[in-house]
Amino acid sequence: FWSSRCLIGFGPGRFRYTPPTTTFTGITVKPVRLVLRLVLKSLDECSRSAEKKSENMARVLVGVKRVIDYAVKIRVKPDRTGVVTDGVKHSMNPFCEIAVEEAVKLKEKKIVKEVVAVSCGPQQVQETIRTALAMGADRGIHVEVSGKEYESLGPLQVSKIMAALAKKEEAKIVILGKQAIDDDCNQTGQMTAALLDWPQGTFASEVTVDGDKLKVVREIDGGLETIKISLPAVLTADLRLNTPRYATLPNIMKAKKKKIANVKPGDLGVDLTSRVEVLRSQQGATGSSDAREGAVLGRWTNRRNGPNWAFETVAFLAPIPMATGPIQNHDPRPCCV
Amino acid sequence: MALRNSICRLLTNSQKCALISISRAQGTAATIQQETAQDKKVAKAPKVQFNWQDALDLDGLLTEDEIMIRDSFRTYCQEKLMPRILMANRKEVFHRDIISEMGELGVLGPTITGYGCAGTSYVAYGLIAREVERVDSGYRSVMSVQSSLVMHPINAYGTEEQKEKYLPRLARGEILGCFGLTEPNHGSDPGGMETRAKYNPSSRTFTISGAKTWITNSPAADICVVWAKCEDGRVRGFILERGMPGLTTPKIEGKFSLRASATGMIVMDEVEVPEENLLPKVSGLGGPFGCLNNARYGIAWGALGAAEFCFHAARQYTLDRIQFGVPLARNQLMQKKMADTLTEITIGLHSCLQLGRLVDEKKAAPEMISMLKRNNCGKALDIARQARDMLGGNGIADEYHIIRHVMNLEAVNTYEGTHDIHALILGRAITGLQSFTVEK
Repeated sequence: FWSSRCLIGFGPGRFRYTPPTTTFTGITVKPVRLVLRLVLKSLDECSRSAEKKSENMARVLVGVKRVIDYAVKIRVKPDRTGVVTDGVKHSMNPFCEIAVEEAVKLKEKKIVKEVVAVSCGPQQVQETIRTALAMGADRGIHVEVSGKEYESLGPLQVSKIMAALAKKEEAKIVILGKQAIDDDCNQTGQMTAALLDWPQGTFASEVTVDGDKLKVVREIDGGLETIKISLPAVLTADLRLNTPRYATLPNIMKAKKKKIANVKPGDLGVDLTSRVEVLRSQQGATGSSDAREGAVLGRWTNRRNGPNWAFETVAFLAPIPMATGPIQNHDPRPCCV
Repeated sequence: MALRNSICRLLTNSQKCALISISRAQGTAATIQQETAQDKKVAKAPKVQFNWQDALDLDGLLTEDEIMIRDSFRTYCQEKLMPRILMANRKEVFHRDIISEMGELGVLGPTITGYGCAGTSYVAYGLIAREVERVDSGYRSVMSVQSSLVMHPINAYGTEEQKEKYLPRLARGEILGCFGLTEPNHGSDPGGMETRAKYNPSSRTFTISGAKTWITNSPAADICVVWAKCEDGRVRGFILERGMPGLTTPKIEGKFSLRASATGMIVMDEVEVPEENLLPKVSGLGGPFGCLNNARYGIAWGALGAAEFCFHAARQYTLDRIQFGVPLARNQLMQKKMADTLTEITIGLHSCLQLGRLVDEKKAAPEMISMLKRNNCGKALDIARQARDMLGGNGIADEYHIIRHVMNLEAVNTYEGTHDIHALILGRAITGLQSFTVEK
């Protein structure tokens, strides 16, 4: 490094001693060398402080949830205690995919150094963590919760786990999906921020780094709201934050070698008792084949399954007529997403 | 005590009495279900639901990353390729971008290790082919040619310099390749090819003259892997690049099959090819056949993807369409067709899986691949035709996609060895007697 500085400072005459002579501007060479040395030193300090900044923004924690795939037709269990999950296709919550994509984008912009994907549940959630690893996360944490505790796992318990992990991993940013498509709670991000006493940027549709703060554009009922929050912070991803990348084959192969750590909630000092008891589950009121499917998200309207009861709780939207494919007898009202 | 009272009430009440006597008079041949420990045993073992989408649980036999690869690629195909195909097929447009997109996803040459390729198993390659062909056989032909017929010969038979020069760019989809073996007068008998390669010791080049036809990708290709007969009578492979004088690739117009992929000829008029472009590690027909086997394996999986699409589309259509007051699917003739279709697809898929595992263990013979390519393509064509029939008049509209698969599968059944030629390959393996030619 010294030699490179010498090269910059001295030019072609570097291997010869040049006695201090006056240059055409009237300044002697020796002070010029001194000035150059000072300039380089300050540049050095600048880059070191930038490194410190990136060291400060070291780690991002991303929560991913394994939910029933959006395209599956949900069926209520005969004993009405819940929904059939055995043998049903599961995948990563779409908002969690957007959260992972945002975390990986921050890493690619060199704003963060490491992306850690976290999921709570039984053995099967490791598939979801692997998908996050295939998208670009560096390592995973599997919080083992199974049986009765998993059935009663809700936003409160998950947010306690996320808060404990954020402190343990010394994360600077926690990114979650805004809500899960199975329970539509929209609570975990907010609760996590409250437990950590961190600022929150929820329904984020754009996140930019502004010095040591984050500028978040939020999608709210009235339009878009821009807020500036200091780090560390919790963000929840909304639909238009980004478009999640397809996991490429080489990344899927690399994901096999990335580590997934197993952690028990007890190790984190988290109590999983639920304050909520599910009394009954039943099919939504509009059970007729006439009922048109609802769509919460613009991405998934191109399907022709029957009514999905999970969407009953959200504002109903008519399906987008298919651009290709057979002529349908559906009501062609445009979809407002 | 309570029971006795209620029985007395029932028996004395004349209206209800009849009910009891009727029920008592009716005997039944069926065994009376004993509500005993048996029911508790049944309750413990969960009832297995038949899944018509995966009848013999293929998913349970795949590894985790094979499932992830398939799911990720299926999403890409349905979201990015499906919207394009209708117009691409109707207007006969080849979208060159799809190769670059697939290159980004790393699905080109997936079984090759190194040089920017993913290095997955052959089963994963088969699953990838199945997902692309679910959209269109033309797109899958483009992918097969790039992966099995261009990247594979360079990887298997090329020098290190050739691999470094071409494979990473082919894997990224930067350059498109094509495979030149078939000639206008020599389709099923490539051994009789008329393309000649003459070596010039003074300039250290080969002069190649001849014509190849029915070459997928050739109008848009940047490199061509051409097989020509040298002076010693042995067939050898050469890498030709676009821009070499004397090399032209005219497009074949008026195709009614695989319209979404560009097909053409390779016309070589004294093309000077430097000797560095010779593929040195193979001579004789074993070279092209090795590549074709690789491609046929992918096609065996792929044809079932097309068949599955036709099956699902026909099922949905017959459930939706009401004639004579009931859905078409209510009819026995429809259900028989769907039962036959489901059986053939399921059996085909599981055979392909076994073949893939054997190929991965290097325990596969070419006849195995011939058998499955022939079976799956023939059955898929049949399934597509039946599905078209089930859709009735709407079946001939390309908006319903099935007629496109019917047209495409005609070519898929024919290329990479026709249905009959594979039968002869198997016949020779079974009997030991060749029946390709009239001589002994």
